[in-house]
Amino acid sequence: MTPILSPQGLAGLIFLGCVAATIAGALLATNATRLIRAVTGLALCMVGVAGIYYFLGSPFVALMQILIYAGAVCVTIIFAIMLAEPHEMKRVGKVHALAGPASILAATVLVWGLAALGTKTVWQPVACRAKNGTLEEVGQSMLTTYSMSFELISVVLLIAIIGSLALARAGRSK
Amino acid sequence: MSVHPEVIRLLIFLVGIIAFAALNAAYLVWLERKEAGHIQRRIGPKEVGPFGLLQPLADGIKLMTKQLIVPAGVDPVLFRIAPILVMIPAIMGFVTIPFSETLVARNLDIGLLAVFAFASVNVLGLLMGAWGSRNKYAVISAARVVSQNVAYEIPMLVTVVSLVMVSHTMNLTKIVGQQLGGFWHWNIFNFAASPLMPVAFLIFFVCMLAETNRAPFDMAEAESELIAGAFTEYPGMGFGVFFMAEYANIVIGCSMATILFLGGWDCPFGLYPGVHWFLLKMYFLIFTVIWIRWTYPRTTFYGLLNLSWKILIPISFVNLLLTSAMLKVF
Amino acid sequence: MNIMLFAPELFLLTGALVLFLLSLGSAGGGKARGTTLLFAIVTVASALVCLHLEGSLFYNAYRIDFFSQFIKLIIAVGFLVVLLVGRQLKGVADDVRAEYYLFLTMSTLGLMMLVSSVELLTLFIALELSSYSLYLLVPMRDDRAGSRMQMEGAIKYILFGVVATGIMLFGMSYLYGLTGTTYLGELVTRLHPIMAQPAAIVGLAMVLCGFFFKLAVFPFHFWVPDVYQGASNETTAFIASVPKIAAVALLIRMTTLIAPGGWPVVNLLVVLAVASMFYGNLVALVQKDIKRMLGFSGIAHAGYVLLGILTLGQNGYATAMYYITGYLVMNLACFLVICAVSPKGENLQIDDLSGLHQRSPLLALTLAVGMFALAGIPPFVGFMGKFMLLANALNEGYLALVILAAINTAISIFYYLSVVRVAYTTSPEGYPAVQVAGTTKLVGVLLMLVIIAMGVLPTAMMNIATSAVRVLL
Repeated sequence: MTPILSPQGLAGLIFLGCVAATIAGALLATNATRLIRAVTGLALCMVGVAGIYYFLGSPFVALMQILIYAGAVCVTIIFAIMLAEPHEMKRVGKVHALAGPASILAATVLVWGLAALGTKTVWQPVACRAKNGTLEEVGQSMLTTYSMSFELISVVLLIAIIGSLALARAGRSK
Repeated sequence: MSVHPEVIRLLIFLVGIIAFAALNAAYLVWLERKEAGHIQRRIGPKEVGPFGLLQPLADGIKLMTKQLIVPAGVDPVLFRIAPILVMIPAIMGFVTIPFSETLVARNLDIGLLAVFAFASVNVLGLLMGAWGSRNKYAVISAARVVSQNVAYEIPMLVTVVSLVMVSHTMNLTKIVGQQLGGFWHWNIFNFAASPLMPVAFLIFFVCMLAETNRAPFDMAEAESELIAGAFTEYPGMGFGVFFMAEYANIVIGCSMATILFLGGWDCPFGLYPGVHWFLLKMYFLIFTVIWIRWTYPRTTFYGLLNLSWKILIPISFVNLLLTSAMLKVF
Repeated sequence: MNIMLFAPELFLLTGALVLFLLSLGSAGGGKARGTTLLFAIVTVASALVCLHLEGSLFYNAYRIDFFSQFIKLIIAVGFLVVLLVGRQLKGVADDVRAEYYLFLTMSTLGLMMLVSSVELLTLFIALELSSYSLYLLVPMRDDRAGSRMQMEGAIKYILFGVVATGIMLFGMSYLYGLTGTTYLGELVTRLHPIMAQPAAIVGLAMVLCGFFFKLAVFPFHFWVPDVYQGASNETTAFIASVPKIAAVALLIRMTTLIAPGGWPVVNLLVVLAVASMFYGNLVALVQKDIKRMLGFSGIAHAGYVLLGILTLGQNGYATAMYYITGYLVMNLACFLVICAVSPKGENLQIDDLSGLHQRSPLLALTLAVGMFALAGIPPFVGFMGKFMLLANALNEGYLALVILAAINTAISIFYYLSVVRVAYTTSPEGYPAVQVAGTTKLVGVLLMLVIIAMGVLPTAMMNIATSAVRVLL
């Protein structure tokens, strides 16, 4: 067994920590009654996922995950909550009695299915590791192989911005 | 059981970083009070110890012995975790900062990105603390913090991007390595890359002031209108942790300015480079930050946003375009 | 790089740019409409010119062949017809019309790029481009009644759309994990030997889900009734017709990845086809709002189209293309009538069509032709399409499926014909007269002619569709 106080042992501990953070964050995000706590859970989940990316050897993606999802998306969501919901409301209305068991059942089936999918499939190791996920390679492929998607994303973002402006303008006149 | 040397190294750096952050927070408060005193023709703290040097210790003891009150009506979970959430990214930010050629906890290839990634999470904790306090001052302050941070993150990152284009790397050690050998090699004077480099440094510095909510951009905790902003409800060490995080962020910001523009641990005259030069430059920048705070009045909120959106962002984009054009041409 | 390869998309992009500039000023809807129409016509013309070009662009992420060019032509024509059908744009306030046309153009652009993308990420983002623009079009309806149903529709559209694309991305990650490539061409060769792997099957099925959403196939149909009802009539005309062409094209492209080991995916398609047909037809029976009814009928038609796709053969694919093109024309004929009859852009109940044969004989005739065609009555295109779909499925040995589809056709005749009955046998008293512009009349006549021509002479169209599909196989 690997001793805990070795680089591998510590790495394993931190990995477990990341997994735990991801799961706990996800549970919090879905089960919290207050919206703002759900966002906290989401942020935690994102950071946990970032940790897993780091373990998978993509520090760039991991840091981008933190920068964008925890640092920008979650902050934007909280900002929207602060603007839209000055009085925090707890969930109104009663949930159906069967909803809890049914969702647990569905989640179990899903987890079992995905786990089975992962274990039953014979994963072939790709002949050579195509990309190391370093900055240079990400940049290279963004401007060559994926140049089309890279450019298209900017168009999508432009549309999203114009769209939100157009909709917000219509809302203000009322 | 033998402990792996790498683990020992990690532990030393962990303890060192936390100690560095805490010590800086404590003595920057002292520096701030001393400097403010002298700027305002007072003396500042002088009773506790020689030159009041033990004042931070007394302050710390006072903060720690205070009762941690969780006011009725706050969101207890958010209220408690917010200070931690603010502190963790501040400490994480130190991980990739090279104080000298060897003195760096983790020399990541994308260390630059790491610092900014963790800095961006900082505001999340502040928001949660403010919202969890259920205090109108705190919420107003949080709203200001977000709009301010979003506004100033853009010119800051754009400036940094133009710098990365010049240095072809995000490894902070390598970025400093390229600037070694005298002040004419520093990025701030790198006119071959972009004639606007000093302006870029200025933009970076201004954005850093705004990102850390320092005067003249301290709209977030404008004492005269918002009591203590986001920290209004926090007693004792809860408040203290927020404060420590704030000073840690200032240290990180000034360190980044030093690394990116002022040649890190390089000696301006090519003699004896080392960690002392780094600290000297960094503390000079921090001194300037405090100097600005006690010299300039607070701006208005619209003035602050206009400065970013209408002046800094366009200039930083011009700088970016100019830099890329220069790179292409030369 | 040969710029002609990209010409239709470039014209649309230029049009979008002009519209964007227009939206910055205070240009009214008239100018924006003229611009859009102009660019739509140019796009159709360039799509025609570029029909037989072949090549690859953008590091092989973008493939131009007869299949993609043919579908681009159909999409361009569909876009033009939608513009003509919704000429007056009654349901959208004048000050946002420039943006409205901008989003409509961008959505069409997204769909055109979608059919040419042969790389998973490009494909996904092109799909997002078209979807985003559509999400924005729905809530832009002018809310005179204050019912805010366009908001309900838009929210449902976005939420279901996001879930569907999420599933699709998840599936793509499986495909990438198995093969290490995002290019469809390489995917085919690397996926075929390992098709029996569970992850390959599930991944492929999940990727298809994104297009099921666009086509409104059964478990991804929940947005349909509310979006059709909530969006303005003109927007619905677009959502109900043009994206479905691209969805079918992409379903065809993706199902070519299925190798013999992938029978579970085929079985899934069978189940979804049956469920869509029954669900759509049965629920359509009780609808009062004509757009909701057309929405449910659209779900049923998606089921019919799947009949052609699931045979995985050249003939099946060609028939599916033929059918969805026919569906575009029939549907647009019905929406032409809805847009023209609705006085201020409100939703129409089926009863609002009372006595249409006296109020406007031509519109009544167009409606009748459209409805007959949707019901699958000869000699219209709907009949020929269904006939070929069923015959093909029968040849491939799906007897039970054919019987179920035939039953569904019988069910559907009831509600289609009851609309025609209302239009022709009730009295027009109490309903306002309908003013029909000359252009609308012309478009109506043309649509009717196409419906009949495609129904009577299917071979020409089938030949083109077959040669388009042959490129893929």
